[in-house]
Amino acid sequence: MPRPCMQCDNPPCTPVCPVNATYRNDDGVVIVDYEQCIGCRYCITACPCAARTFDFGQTYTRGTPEAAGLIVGQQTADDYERAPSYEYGVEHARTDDEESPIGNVRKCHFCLHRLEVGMLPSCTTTCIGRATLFGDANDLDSVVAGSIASPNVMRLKGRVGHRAARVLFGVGGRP
Amino acid sequence: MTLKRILYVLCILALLVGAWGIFDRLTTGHENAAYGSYVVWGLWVAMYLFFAGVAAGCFMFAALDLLFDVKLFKGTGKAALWTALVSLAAALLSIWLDLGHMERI
Repeated sequence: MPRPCMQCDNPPCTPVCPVNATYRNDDGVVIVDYEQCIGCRYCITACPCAARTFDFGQTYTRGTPEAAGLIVGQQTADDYERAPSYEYGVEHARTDDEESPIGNVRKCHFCLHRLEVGMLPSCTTTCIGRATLFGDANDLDSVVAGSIASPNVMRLKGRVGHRAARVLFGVGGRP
Repeated sequence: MTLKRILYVLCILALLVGAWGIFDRLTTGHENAAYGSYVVWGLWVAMYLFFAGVAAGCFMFAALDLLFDVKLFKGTGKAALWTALVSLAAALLSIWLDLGHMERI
């Protein structure tokens, strides 16, 4: 089961940040300020959904043998891992000089940089099972409003009181 | 005299081990600690809590002598204060080395 950030209405991960680097923005998305984060990893321990990770600057390809061929090989995979991401609309390259986002806590940010230009989040467009839906639950015409009314709907760890904005569906939960 | 010399040698050996640890931390980061998403803290945070606790305790004992003049602790105030200061420095150093971006403090 994929377990991305639930974008809580009342996130337990943000009050513990000693430098106020992570917060819930005006759109209700919990974000991390990469230039502010000191990398203490307190928010990872506070998250009830284990949705946060720390970027230790490691790559999966380190120490793997160089494969023959031009298309698939250690070099290509390494380039792919170091390709810049455009999180929060800024180009972040993972280089060896340990600049952000290496040494930062990273998390799902609802693909804010894609939403801003009217695209769906990557998890929604790439899911081959079409299990991930995205939309405004308050808009009655949206696809998620119909799904959320289903009796099979389930809120993850509803008892914790963080009020997850994102919901999971049981098998056959989609209308 | 020989006991003192043995203790000094032990201290120097311990310092060498510590220096190697600091070198390892600064060159390879947290790699050898093998932290992940479920275990994100290790010895640095444990040492921070330990030394911070020692500092607070020593400060309390210093207060028993210097502030409240408890007879049982007469004369221990200065040593306790000094220990508290050194422990506090060790605690802050430990938690500093745990950070992902040490330069931002």
